[in-house]
Amino acid sequence: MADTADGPDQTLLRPIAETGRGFYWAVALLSIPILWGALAYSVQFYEGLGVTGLHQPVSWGFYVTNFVFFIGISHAGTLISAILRLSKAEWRRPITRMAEVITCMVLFIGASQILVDLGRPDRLLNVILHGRYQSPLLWDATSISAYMMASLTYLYLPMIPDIAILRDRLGKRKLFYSVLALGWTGTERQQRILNRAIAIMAVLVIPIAVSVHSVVSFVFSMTLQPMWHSTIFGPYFVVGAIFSGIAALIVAMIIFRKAYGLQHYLKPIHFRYLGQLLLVMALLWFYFTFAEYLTGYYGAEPEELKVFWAKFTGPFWPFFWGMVLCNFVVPLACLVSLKHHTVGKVLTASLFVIVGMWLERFIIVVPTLSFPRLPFPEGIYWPTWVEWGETAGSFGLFALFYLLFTKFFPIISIWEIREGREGLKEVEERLITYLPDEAEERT
Amino acid sequence: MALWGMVIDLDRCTGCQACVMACKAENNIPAVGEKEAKRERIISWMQVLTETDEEHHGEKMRFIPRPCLQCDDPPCTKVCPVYATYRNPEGIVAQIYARCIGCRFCMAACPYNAKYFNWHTYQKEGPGQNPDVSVRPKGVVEKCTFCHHRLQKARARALAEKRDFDPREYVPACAEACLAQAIVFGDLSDPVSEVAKLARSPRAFKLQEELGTKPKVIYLTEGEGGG
Amino acid sequence: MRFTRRKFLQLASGTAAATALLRDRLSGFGQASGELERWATPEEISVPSICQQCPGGCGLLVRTLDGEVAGISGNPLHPVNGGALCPKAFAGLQLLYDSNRVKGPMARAGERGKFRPIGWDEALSMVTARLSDLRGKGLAHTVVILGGQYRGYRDALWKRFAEAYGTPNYIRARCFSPEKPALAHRLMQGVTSPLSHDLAQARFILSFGAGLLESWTGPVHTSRAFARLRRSGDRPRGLLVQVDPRRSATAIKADRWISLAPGTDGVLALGIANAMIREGLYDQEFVAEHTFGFEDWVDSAGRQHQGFKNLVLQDYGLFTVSAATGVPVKNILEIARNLATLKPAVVVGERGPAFGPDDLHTRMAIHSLNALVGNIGVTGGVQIQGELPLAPLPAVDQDAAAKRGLAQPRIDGAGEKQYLLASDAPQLLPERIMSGIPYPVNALFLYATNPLANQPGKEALAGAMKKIPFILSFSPFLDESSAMADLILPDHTYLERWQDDQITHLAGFTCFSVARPASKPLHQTRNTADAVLQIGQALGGGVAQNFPWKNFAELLHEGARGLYEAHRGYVVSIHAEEALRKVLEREGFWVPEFKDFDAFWKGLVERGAWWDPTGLPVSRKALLRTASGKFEFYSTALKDLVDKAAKQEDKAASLVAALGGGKIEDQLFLPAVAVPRPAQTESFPLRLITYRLMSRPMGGGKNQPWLMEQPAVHVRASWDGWIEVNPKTADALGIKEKDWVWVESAKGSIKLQAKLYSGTRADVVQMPLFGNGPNPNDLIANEIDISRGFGLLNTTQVKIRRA
Ligand SMILES: Nc1nc2c(c(=O)[nH]1)N[C@H]1C(S)=C(S)[C@@H](COP(=O)(O)OP(=O)(O)OC[C@H]3O[C@@H](n4cnc5c(=O)[nH]c(N)nc54)[C@H](O)[C@@H]3O)O[C@H]1N2
Ligand SMILES: Nc1nc2c(c(=O)[nH]1)N[C@H]1C(S)=C(S)[C@@H](COP(=O)(O)OP(=O)(O)OC[C@H]3O[C@@H](n4cnc5c(=O)[nH]c(N)nc54)[C@H](O)[C@@H]3O)O[C@H]1N2
Ligand code: SF4
Ligand code: SF4
Ligand code: SF4
Ligand code: SF4
Ligand code: SF4
Ligand SMILES: [Mo]
Repeated sequence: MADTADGPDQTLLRPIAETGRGFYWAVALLSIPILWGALAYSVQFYEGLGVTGLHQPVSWGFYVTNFVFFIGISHAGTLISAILRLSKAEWRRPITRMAEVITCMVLFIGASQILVDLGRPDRLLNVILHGRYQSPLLWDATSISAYMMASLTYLYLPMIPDIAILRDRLGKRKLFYSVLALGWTGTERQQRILNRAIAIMAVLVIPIAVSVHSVVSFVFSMTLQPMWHSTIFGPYFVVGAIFSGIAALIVAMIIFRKAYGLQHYLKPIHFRYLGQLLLVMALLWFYFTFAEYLTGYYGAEPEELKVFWAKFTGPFWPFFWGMVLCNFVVPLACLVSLKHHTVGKVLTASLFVIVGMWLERFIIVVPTLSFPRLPFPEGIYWPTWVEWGETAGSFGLFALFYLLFTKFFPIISIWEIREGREGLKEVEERLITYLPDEAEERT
Repeated sequence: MALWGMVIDLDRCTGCQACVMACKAENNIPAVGEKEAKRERIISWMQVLTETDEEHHGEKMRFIPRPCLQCDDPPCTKVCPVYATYRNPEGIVAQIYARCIGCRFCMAACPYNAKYFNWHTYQKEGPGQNPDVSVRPKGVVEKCTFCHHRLQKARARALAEKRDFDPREYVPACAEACLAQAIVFGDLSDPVSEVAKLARSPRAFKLQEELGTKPKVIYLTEGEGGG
Repeated sequence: MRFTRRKFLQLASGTAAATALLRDRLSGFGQASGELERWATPEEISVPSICQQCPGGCGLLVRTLDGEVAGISGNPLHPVNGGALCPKAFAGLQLLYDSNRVKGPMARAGERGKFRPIGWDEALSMVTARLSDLRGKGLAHTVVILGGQYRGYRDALWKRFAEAYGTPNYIRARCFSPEKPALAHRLMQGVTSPLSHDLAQARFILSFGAGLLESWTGPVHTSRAFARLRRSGDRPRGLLVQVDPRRSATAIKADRWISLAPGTDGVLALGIANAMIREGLYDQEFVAEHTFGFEDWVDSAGRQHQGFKNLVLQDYGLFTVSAATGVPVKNILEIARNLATLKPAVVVGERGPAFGPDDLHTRMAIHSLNALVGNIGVTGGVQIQGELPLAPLPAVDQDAAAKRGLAQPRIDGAGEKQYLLASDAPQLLPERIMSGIPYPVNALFLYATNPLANQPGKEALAGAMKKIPFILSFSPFLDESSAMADLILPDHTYLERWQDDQITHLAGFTCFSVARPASKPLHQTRNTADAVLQIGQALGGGVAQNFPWKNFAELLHEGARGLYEAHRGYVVSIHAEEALRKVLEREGFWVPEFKDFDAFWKGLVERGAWWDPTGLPVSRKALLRTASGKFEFYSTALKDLVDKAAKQEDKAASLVAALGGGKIEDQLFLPAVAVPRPAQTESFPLRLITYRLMSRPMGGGKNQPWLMEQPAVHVRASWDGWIEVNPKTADALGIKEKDWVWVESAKGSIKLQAKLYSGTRADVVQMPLFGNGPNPNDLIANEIDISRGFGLLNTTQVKIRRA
């Protein structure tokens, strides 16, 4: 049946089949921040971390912030798509792939932030040679690599049928696709195994994802430092992660919807659902933030308060209140009603959330370090062009990866859409099972 | 097994920084230069902190010399992913410069900011340096070692002279220099040692004791009072 | 009885551990060396030396590996510092290895400021040629030698050179001469050698602006005393009160900081005296028996004279004093009571820089408190040093040319007119040189001084130096002044040379330090002392005969002979050994440690110092050498000086005026300080105070990055100088922490960063003598301190505004 992939889904193959001027423009555009980042890092590699704005006592800054942020984004995909799959939410079909791709791409970017932050990247191997499992950094290494593996598999499995389609329909890269397609012919048996595998991965990936951002938070909460040493950091970080993840997903969807003309696939309804999900996360995030800061404030431990006020009214107030605006006020305003201009509103909210979540990570990392317990000079940290460059480069690289992916694989799962179409009957039956039995009603 | 510790009498300390400079000379601590200094990157294993108490609206000032407090339960060692900083059996918290990957996690974890980072290559081997202490490369963390090399030398000496090693022979550079004799060093596990006696003084207190890091650098308060 | 070191070591084996420690740190001498060899890396030697970063004179142990310096620590045997050091000592490493040192003789190339390297022989012959030429022309006296802070045989050698060559112009540029008795002490006690304050034994220390824990006579020795004051054994905790307009480190550590209006110390002292007398808190017995001029008195001619008591009771009532000084009456009373109740108590007022125009009477007023306390010659009070029994150098035999030169008046006019009391008046050099009166200057030598940076009159001097045809600097560093020289003969740094030190402000013991080179010279430099000998010898004839020594080392060796032959005192050695000797000595026999002088010299050089811990029995006689044999509140010595002057000059008007009097009257000879009226200050409302940081070595330390990086702990600063402003004052002027501000005086204006420091008076701004960038002397007015002939350093009015 693989050979009958004609009809409406042509649009999904077009970006792979032909490459327009737009693509080259995009690549050119993205290469600017990427080159800037490359230059920045090479300078840092030879000069040492001294070229950054870091100092005594602010020994962590942009890089660690980016690390937490990107790993957070990574929760977009896999987690969301897994949840939707398991809950058999039909509207998921055009979304899951996009989500999973985000995860895989951003995980690499996120993990590499740590490498960039090292004073001696040349000694990275020591982590394996002399690894000390007591250190949360190793917990991170472990669960992030696990997450990477899982996500890649989880991305790859549902792609097999589509790759087969590409192998058969597409003129070019025959060898490449046939290898990846693993001789998929779409027999009942293959289909069954595949669905099974996908289901298992979906279950597997959720706890791993949750673990990832919990241990990321442990990097901070395991220390004794004011406003880091907190028990709710685990869930707090996970919620934030999913929050930013959804936002990132929405932005990606809207971009490709426009670029590849996927309006028929990604309809306002999808955005309305995701928007509502985003709203829920915004409320959850606010709840955690509130709880976290209230305990700090109420406990009124002098060191805690020093940092607390530094964020509320002190040198960090623009970042803190900026965060509240981006993560709560704006999303609330945009998302309460999505009857009209759904896409526009959801996009605005998402963009703000992305900025807001980055600020949140920053406001967690830096102020605590800037206000030591002992009477030290308060170090106010300001990043240099190197850190800006590295950050811009990271975003650029992420975008480029994503773009390239869409040039090789359909960004929307063709077969799942089709399965959706064909499966309408079955879905209907399933829906009926949700409802109370008529027979019983009569009696 | 000895448990090395230090008592610093704040009533005597004049904030002169002799300990700071003695430490720099003894441990090959580089001057980072004007630009770096203004970027707050001065390396000072021993650092004299100045506390101005608010009630007297800055009228009163107090000097607190702060080496690495050699915590008995050090938050800095746990977080090191590569065992580049660890507590040795005699309670000295050591750094392995050759292994440190420069993640600065230990810096973030030390509640006393006793760790310092080599943001650049600040010095090469050169004249005037102490051959007993290695010169640190860029990208690694360093801190007060309780002048561990002096312990090793003292032991070697005792061995060579075929006699028991006497703890009094092990004196860190800062304690040796202190012109107000405010720094007393010795074996806390030996109840009759001077340092142990002072540590029991009613004036004795520890920095951020509530954190449970169990510092082995103990302070004596200023002003009247026994001890 | 014979008492060998070997026997001793067996005796002292109880303290084996302690001694072992010392042994390894001392280059192995005698018995110890044998053991040393076995474990120490053979090429590692510790060489005793003397720190020269301030006048403290602390003993060093310089760690050398194959003769290369690898570390500095304190000499545990040295009685001044007992192994302790201050931050500056360690930075000596950076001074030694400073890459910008003058690496060999340099001659001017083209206009001043440009140099070309030349060889030593050529350089020295240039100097001798010039000197003998001048001498031949009968112009020996036109050679001016300007010297900085140093003492001992380097001073003796320069004196000798000046005398043998024939110039009266060996001028010391400094406001603090530890080796000379303070003027007030000389005039009130008639002493000829410096008094010392027995801080280590005192239970109450009252200091008028002496930077006990930062500067003064060397912070290590005084800080050790401070440590004892705080807690030592079962001795109760003593008290320190610091009188200082600025909250200095000493003030921070003091039990009470008395902030007063700058320059009003004399008034405060007299206020304290008033309280003591009023409440009968002074030592009646001492005052009755051993002082002169306390009560009103009648002289031989039957003239009635006012006594100190009535002077104080009439003119220095507590409220007057409180109003003038800004010190609350209750604090004045508290101090008076402490002085009376906490014994022994000592009052220190001999800070370096002058207290103001009427410095002499201020210091007399402060010193009279010691008399009221009755601590003269008391343990824990004011004491005196015994002379070091060094072999005197043979008297200079002056040839005709020398006599002719020495007969000439001093160029700086020290010892004349209003400078009658001053032994040096560097501040006058500029105008004298410019005017060519009494005579033009043909050569200027700069030794261990950098007047173009450190003298308030530096601009004028720079101008004057243009008129001097030949300027010779001996500095190892290219400082502001050396840069203007025609020839530089770079000295060794102190770690590379033979030198001695004769510390004279110690209580309870006398001490002579000697040091051999710790490091071989790193560059083509030469110990200036040797250079002077060579120049003297090269000048030949009448001059050369006065310089019989091969080199400076030999001169030191000859001088030390006297110590050996004095049959008292010891070459410092392991504490236990020392203690034992004292016991024996108390039993009545002094034990010679060395069989002959050579052994003595060897021991001296290997351990670094000789001392006489028994000191002199401090009898009051030794301390009260005035005409009346008493402590003179009314200084007859001063009166005689003024009367003599009156005979020579026209009524000595200038001197009397300078001493703050209109006519010659009792007030002039008593510690009477005029109660100052608030000055006219609309245009310049703030008083500028300059001070020394603990971390400031002599020379400024710009070549010592460790010190530049962490200069202070009371404010946060690095590398650059700053100005301290009272937070309220700053607020009124809209100045915030770290703002750049213009500081402007009548003389000039400079731009630097402001530090808001609560230890600053509202009407004062403070600037350390530190850092890159502007120098306080760019602002300081050219007022002269008549008793030092030096600029007044803390009397300049300024204003500040945001830049
Ligand atoms: N570290 C260091 N020590 C040194 C030197 C050095 O360069 N560095 N130089 C040596 C030399 S040459 C000298 S002369 C001595 C000088 O040593 P000190 O005599 O101690 O002189 P300063 O340290 O300049 O000033 C001491 C204090 O006087 C205060 N002061 C200013 N005006 C007044 C006033 O009107 N009344 C009172 N009561 N106090 C006032 C200042 O605030 C300062 O705190 O130090 C010697 N020791
Ligand atoms: N504003 C202000 N000005 C002051 C003072 C103040 O308190 N405030 N204090 C005044 C006082 S008390 C004094 S004593 C003067 C001190 O001022 P100076 O007499 O100039 O003494 P230093 O500042 O110690 O400078 C000594 C110079 O000698 C040179 N030198 C260093 N080591 C050696 C050596 O081993 N051999 C030789 N031949 N030369 C060497 C160095 O180049 C250095 O510049 O400053 C005075 N100036
Ligand atoms: S050396 Fe002694 S007195 Fe000076 S700062 Fe250090 S501890 Fe305090
Ligand atoms: S003081 Fe800081 S560095 Fe030193 S042991 Fe404690 S935690 Fe570690
Ligand atoms: S910086 Fe070095 S010592 Fe500190 S935690 Fe990282 S690897 Fe360990
Ligand atoms: S113990 Fe040694 S390393 Fe530690 S501060 Fe003192 S001198 Fe420096
Ligand atoms: S007090 Fe003076 S002499 Fe003594 S160590 Fe410090 S600088 Fe050197
Ligand atoms: Mo001086």
